[in-house]
Amino acid sequence: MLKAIVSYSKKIPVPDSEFSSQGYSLSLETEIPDIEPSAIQSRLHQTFNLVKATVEEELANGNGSGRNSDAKPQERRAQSRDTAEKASNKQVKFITDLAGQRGLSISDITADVRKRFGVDGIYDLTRKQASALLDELHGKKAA
Amino acid sequence: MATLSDYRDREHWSFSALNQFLNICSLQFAFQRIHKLTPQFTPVALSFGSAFHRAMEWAHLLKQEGKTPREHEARDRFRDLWSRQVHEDPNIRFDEEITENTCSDQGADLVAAFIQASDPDEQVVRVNEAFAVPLVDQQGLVLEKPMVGEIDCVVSKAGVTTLVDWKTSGRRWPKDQARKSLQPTVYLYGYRQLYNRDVAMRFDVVIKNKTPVCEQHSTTRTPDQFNRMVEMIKTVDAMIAAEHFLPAEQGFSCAGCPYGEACRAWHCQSSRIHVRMAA
Repeated sequence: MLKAIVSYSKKIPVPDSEFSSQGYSLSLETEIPDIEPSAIQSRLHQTFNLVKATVEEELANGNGSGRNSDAKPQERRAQSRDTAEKASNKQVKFITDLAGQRGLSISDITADVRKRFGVDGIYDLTRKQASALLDELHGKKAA
Repeated sequence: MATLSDYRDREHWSFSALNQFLNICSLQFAFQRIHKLTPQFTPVALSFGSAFHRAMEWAHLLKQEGKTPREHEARDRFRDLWSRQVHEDPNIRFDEEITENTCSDQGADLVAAFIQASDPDEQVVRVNEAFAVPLVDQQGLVLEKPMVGEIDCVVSKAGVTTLVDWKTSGRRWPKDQARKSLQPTVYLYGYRQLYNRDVAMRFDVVIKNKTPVCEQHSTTRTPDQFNRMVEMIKTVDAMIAAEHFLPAEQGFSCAGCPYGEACRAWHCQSSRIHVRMAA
């Protein structure tokens, strides 16, 4: 007896969030009797179609993007925000230390990140954004 | 806008944590926040306060949209929120005098009293504004953990912005309670760091009399008081690192403390080991 694992996954865009996606996948483990190769191929094909159709049906029934669209706008924003890891406390401390050395206050740097990154405050920066800001403050990049 | 739970994911300081350590009981702080023990029960005041805040939030969001919350709707809203709260948490501790029903009636009265006392000329700017700001001492040293919090409401009248916190109280507030409270220091510090503005904070308090009474207590803070707060936090951080946690033996909150059993066993070495293992 052969054992086969058939998987299908699909990524769909997150509503109201550019450049973000959510992945949905389904795996099915099945046993195939030891028969000729063409029969095995046919069985795998059938199983794959079944798995694929199930995923598509679930998404069409609103169990994918529909779940997100049920969320309140605030929750949706929070969900999309969560997809990018936030700056660590250490990163923020480096940013504020360097900003302080350049005579910038916390409110100055907060106003700056709001304007440039569209976030509420320094602790809303992603790791990547914080890293870019640190590079700038270090003078590695032109501001 | 970011929410408080977004900010709570990281290591942080908050008014409630600082107040618990300094003014309630540092051992209770350790049980809850360091060792993360499961509380024996949920104090009814905590659940009641949560339902009250959610009802107030509803009323002020309506006001922000330019609508007037109606008294009977506010009552219904509280009763509904309270009922859900009770059903979601079977560990709420009631007693003979404070029952689910008395809380339901009292909360509805308190919310209605707030609606009646609401100033129609006051504009609601924001409701539940969460913040996370760095703590900076007077030498410019930035602490690693931020201060996080959530301002119940930001209001404006005649161009003057005020931060508002909603409270219920069993008795009238002494005149200097707002001046002495650590909460305005924390919240006004947060607001100043975010917006570079010095504003006032007001406690809107409803007293749990038979006929509820509303009172307001406003206060401000100076940069010196902010510096003092940061120094306190630095010292508390050092005390936590050194595990300086002591029971407040004659504390006012001992009777309703959900960590009573762990506290009674705390001085026994074996219990302390047990507590550490539970962390």
